[in-house]
Amino acid sequence: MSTEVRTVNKDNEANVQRVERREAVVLSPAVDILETEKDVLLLADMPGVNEKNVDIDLHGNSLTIKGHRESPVPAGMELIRTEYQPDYRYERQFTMGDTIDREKITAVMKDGVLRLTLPKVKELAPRRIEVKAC
Amino acid sequence: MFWRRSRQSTWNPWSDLWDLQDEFNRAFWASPWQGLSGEFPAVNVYESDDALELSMKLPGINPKDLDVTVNQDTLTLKGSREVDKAPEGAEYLRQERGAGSFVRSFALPFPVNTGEVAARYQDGILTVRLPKAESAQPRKIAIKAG
Repeated sequence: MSTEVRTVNKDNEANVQRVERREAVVLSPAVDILETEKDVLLLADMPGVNEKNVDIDLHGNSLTIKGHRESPVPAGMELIRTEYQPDYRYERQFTMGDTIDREKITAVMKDGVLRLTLPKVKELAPRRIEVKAC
Repeated sequence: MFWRRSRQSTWNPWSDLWDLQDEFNRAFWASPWQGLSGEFPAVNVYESDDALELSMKLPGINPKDLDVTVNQDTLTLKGSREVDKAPEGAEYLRQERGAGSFVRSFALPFPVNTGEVAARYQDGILTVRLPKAESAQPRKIAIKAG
């Protein structure tokens, strides 16, 4: 994640600097999908993501959720131990059936959890069709 | 001391002892979680001359269910999260998000100013700031000539 850059000055002193190369890793968020009579609920764990950097895309039958985070380095501090990649992106794609009413999909982002409510298309009320004689 | 591993500059004779303690401090979360060291939660550590900051991913936790305790030289993080209450008659099609409780403790390599330890939970990220005690901060030693 970091490389050394070495320069030598005229007094023959070497200056070695560590250059941080921050790469963002792509992660697939853990999700819970529940179905009730009226809608389908999708909950995705995306810590570090808030409503400003989350992206929900709908293309035909395909639903893609995306989020990203660049962990800010606190002022004057240095990262000395990494147990998880500080910069990451979440991305996951789902295929929706025709039962979802796309116009009514709502999303809420709280504490790094995305909650998508996908209401099902309401059954059209049965209709009797009158037949007229000519 | 787990974070001494990445600082090769000072030799710490106690590091092996603390690594062993670390092994005993494991806890688990109900579903497999990605984490380089296998412990939950994965913690990133930042350091400056006067403080240490720990950062970890903990989505969907109620801050009331989080416990951050510091005593002389140990920091303990405890927390739990329950499976979200499903609405009446709901059926799970997929369940990947973990639930349960965790405990993780760290042996601190220097004394901290316990009165000024601060923790913040935002967007699912918990950040704990530990200011180093005055005696632990680097001191510049004046060199007298003659």
